Amino acid sequence: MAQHPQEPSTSQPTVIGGNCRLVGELFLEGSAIIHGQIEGQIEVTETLEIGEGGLVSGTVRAGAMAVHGRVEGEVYCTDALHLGSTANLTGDVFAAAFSAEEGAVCRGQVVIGQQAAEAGRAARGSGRDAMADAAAEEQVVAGHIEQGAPTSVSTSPNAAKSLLRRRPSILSTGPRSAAG
Amino acid sequence: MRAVRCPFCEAPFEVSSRAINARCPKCTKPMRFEDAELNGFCNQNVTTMGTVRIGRKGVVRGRIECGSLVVSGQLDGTIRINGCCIVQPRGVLRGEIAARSMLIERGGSFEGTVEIGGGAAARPAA
Repeated sequence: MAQHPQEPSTSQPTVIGGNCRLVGELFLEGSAIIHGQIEGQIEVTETLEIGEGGLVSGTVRAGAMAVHGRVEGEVYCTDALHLGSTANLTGDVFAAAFSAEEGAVCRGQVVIGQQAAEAGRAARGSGRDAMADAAAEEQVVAGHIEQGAPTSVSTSPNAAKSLLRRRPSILSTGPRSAAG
Repeated sequence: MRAVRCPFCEAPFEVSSRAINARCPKCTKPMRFEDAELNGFCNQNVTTMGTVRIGRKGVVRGRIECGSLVVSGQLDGTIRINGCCIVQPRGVLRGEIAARSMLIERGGSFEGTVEIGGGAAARPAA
């Protein structure tokens, strides 16, 4: 009797190795550990850990987050954000709690507290919608491809446009706009 | 003994935990080590290499340069810390912060720009 391969358990974190480079959008249900490079948008529902050699350029949305590598972009955490001694973070941060060890480098606008966590939750929802919209647009484009128009296919700009369209609505729900 | 780092030349050295002022053994610049606790309404600048505590009832606005900072009340201003910045539950911190390390406990809040590491905290305020 043939045995089906077991589905990976959601309790096991997804590991993106040091020799991996990913460009685009990544959505992970569960936890993740990143040792490689990611350029684009990343969303993790539970804990996200960025290893010492990890590099993320773009918007990051996560539950809890621990950074030991490099992050360039906006960070939304519904839970705590921890920067290890080797962390280098450049960009805006929204989190419920925050800690940074000596040696960590952090530069940018930081909003910490319950309101920031709520903004993070709103951003996560919007980010997921944007990803769904982008996927829908890509499917439409793919439909055109099958009908014989393969030359003008460019899915990434569509995804980026969709995210940029959503961005003001994300920020308007945050406490920054209220304070400003 | 208390381990400190000169805010002018960044030389690490030790002073007695009871010292209230000293000179850096390397650059000879003077510095104070008094601890300060601020409660109630307060609109002033504070410069010390000791610990500044903003009490639960403290509402403070101003420029603060210190060795370490513990916020349990409200603090609004430009803050340069040569050590650790701790925002306790119900503590509210707003403004520009430069520190070596930072901890914002759950229930505490912070809004503003932060510069951690990179020698940012060691530069003396203008």
